[in-house]
Amino acid sequence: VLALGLIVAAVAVTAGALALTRGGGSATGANGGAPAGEAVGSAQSSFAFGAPKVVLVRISTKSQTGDVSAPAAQIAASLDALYGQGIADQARWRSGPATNVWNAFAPSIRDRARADRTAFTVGKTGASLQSLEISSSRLTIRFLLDEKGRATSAIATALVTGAGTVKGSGPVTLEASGRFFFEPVNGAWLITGYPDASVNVNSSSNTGGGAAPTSGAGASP
Amino acid sequence: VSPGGRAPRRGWAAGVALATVALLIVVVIRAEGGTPASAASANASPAAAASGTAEPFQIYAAHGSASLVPALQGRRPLFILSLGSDARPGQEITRQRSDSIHLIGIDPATHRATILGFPRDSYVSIPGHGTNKINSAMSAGGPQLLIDTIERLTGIHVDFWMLTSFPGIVNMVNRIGGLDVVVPYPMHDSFSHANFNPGRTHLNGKRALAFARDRHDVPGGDLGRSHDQGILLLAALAKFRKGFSRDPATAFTWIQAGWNEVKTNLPVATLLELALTASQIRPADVNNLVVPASGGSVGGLSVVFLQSSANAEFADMRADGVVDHPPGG
Repeated sequence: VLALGLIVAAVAVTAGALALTRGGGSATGANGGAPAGEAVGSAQSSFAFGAPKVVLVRISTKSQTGDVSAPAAQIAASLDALYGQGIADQARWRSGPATNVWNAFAPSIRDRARADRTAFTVGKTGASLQSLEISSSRLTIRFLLDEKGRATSAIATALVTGAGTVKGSGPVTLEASGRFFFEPVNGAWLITGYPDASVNVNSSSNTGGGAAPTSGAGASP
Repeated sequence: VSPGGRAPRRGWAAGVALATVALLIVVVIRAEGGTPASAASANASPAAAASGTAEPFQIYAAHGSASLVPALQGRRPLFILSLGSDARPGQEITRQRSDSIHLIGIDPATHRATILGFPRDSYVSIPGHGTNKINSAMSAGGPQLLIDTIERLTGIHVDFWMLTSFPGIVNMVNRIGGLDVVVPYPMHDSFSHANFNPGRTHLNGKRALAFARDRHDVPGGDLGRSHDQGILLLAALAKFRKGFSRDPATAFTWIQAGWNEVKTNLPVATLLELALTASQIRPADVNNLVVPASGGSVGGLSVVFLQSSANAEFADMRADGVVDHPPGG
């Protein structure tokens, strides 16, 4: 009986090891800067920036203050999906975001955004990424309001940081940041530009076991 | 190990368990398409895994970045008429003389531009009003008459116009934190209150206005002043680009800074598009020119006659928004 118990325990431990071997990370989400603590191995990303900080830039001193809650929610949802599937969701580390995620970009720049995918996703790191814990995330949205208080355009600033492990390299840190122009396009708030967007994955300063630095070992997506 | 003869049994059980774990790991990894070696060295380098030797972690660095600014697209050049009214406090700025007249051409395809200044005393044909100084067009018929005048003179279609005033310049420059210019020559003029030595200097709103208004001790008089006004526009472009590169929201704050100080037919969305386009234009890729002209008089009135070479300049600018071959240049 004892032996069986140990075997069962061993199986349980192995199952955990399996999850890690498959590239399963730990928490895959963050909400308002705090990890969501989603279960390991989940195919669904629960990543969300949480309530964004919203700043209104009124074009005129006479401008009314409009309600931007709807566009703010739409913009936040788009970036939740982009960074959720591009960064946080382990099920997408290899395959990249689902097709509909790219619909957040205006049709005129959609192909370009796909080509620039390494600026929004884990890129080639996804093939060797074993775990990733999102430690913080922030989203700020600035709206430009016209004289009637209508939002005419927005600039969203996103920042996601995390820590994880890469096969063959040990612990790494990740920082994904982006600034996005949003404008109403055919009734929807879509990304019309991204003046700067980047994803950086680097070995942690304490690379396990006092590793000697080796240059050129990293993959460049 | 506890005493009492039970250790061998526990040792056996543990051995079975470990063997099972090892077996499961092997099975699992093979099912995943990996190898036991790679699993054992999950935190080591691929080379170490292949050789079976333990090597330290490799430094990992992966970087992906991109930039896409939604600037104006297309091959057709864009032309904006930038105007400064000499309205005094209490006067309607669209119904006074335009003492600063610049046609700005932008080539979206190459991100190049030209600022072409028109001397305010240019003696030209004003539709429906005979021939007169160009700055009188706006006082006679508002910005539209001045646009008509420019279009007839140059053959260039003006897409948008922007008009500001003396206090408008002062307020705008102050709101963006001033401008840095290189003063090209000594400027000490009591009329405009310009008081500058040559070299780099910082201009607040009041000083910027003085720099833009001085014509009495400027080489070429009105022509030199028009060129200096172009220098101010270029300084603003340089400052905007610097701010934009740090924070794209600079586009919003600049639009906000200017909106209350200008009259324009530009919709807000287009204004933003223009600002984003401006962020892609290097000051070095902007020609700051003044229409070639020379002084004269008509019936005792001091005027400026445009030289015939101006027509070639207009044609050059009409093609793509840029004067590639300025007269004498």
